[in-house]
Amino acid sequence: MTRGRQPEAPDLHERFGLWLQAGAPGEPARDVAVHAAHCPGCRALVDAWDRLALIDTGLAPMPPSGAKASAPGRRLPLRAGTALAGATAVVAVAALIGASGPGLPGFGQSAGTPSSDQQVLGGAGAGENRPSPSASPETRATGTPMATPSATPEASPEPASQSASPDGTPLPIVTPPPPPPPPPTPRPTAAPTPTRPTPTPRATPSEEPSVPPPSVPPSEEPSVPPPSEEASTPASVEPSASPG
Amino acid sequence: MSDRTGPSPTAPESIITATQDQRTGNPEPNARAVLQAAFRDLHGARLHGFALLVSLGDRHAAAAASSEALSGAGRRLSELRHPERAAAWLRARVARSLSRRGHPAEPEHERRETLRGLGVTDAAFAGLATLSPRERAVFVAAAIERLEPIDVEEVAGRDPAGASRLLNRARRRYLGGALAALDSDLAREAAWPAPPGLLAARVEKVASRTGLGAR
Repeated sequence: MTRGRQPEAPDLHERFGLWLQAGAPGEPARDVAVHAAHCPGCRALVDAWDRLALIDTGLAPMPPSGAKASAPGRRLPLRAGTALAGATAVVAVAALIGASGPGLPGFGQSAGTPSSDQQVLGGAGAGENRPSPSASPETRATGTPMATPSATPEASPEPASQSASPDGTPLPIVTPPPPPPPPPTPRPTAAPTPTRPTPTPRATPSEEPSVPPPSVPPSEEPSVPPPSEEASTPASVEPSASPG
Repeated sequence: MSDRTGPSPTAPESIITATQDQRTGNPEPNARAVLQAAFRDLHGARLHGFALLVSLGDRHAAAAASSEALSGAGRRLSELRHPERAAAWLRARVARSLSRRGHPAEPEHERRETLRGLGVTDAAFAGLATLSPRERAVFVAAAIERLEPIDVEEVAGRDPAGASRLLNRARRRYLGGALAALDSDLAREAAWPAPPGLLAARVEKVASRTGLGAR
């Protein structure tokens, strides 16, 4: 900051520097501005400051996804055989999400309500600080996505990122025996149970189609329901649009 | 079988809900992937640019840190409550990661060249080089990306007073470093396009009110 400094106005120079260090808020004092407009040193400071405006972080390319970043195009071949494993992996990921790391402003309720996750996940979150280890063994074997249910191509990229993240490195672990995942997805959404009490309207004849008579002998005519009633159900028949 | 009864009336209202599996209520794996990809598209490039600046052009470190932050956030997208704060969250994570690293692995001329692609002049490089990684993170967030103070505090990982002190120190050191570089190598800087001169225009505007403007 000694460049081209005007000896007769040291305090103006300092004041201008202080104003800049404070982030150049508002306007500089008029005497400071007049000084800075003529002082080569201050103008150099302004020049250095204005060079920041040339920098645009948006010019950077997307970061290479490496091992972790879940290249979306790759995760196609999820088949029926792997659906169960996929579902468990999703639940596991959800568990990890709930149990992982410190809450930060953008995400979650920083320290607010861990309760819901804890209730749902039980002890799953308690043991593991790092989210990856539990899920990674299953997902490491990304080589055979379709063959066995243990492949779980869906979740594979994510845990990989955690376990091998720091350097985005070569995915060393390959064959940890996949620990049998927890009982297949507790399915907390089993809400339909309360639908039971509905049978009350039995007396009314309108319920006919939903409750087929159980007394029909099984062998005789199992596959031939009364055609007229079928047609009367509005939802299912409409799209078939049989010409009649 | 024919469980399909349509969307549950108790389903939470969120963007994720729109892509939930209607039978189980769980987010579909594909929907999660789509959200993660969208999040990555939204934040990836700028976050990477931020990481490049904080790492002073170390491509390997910047890529690792930004990818790690993005994937970490991607796993927690369902927890995202304040999307406008996600950028600060990501940058805080990158800053922490990069401040744990040692000296950049790549030689300076390569890093300088990398940052040139973001518009970093030699003087600016010299100024940034005088800062510690954490100071750089705060400085880049505030002076270059112009994040809000609350976000800068998040990036700094400090309370408002601490973040302000850190930022002031970073500004002072940046100016000293950049000025020294301008002194030593004005010829090379002259090859660069003139900066927009926003601050210069502001100063000149105030000075011109007195009739003593320089230009």
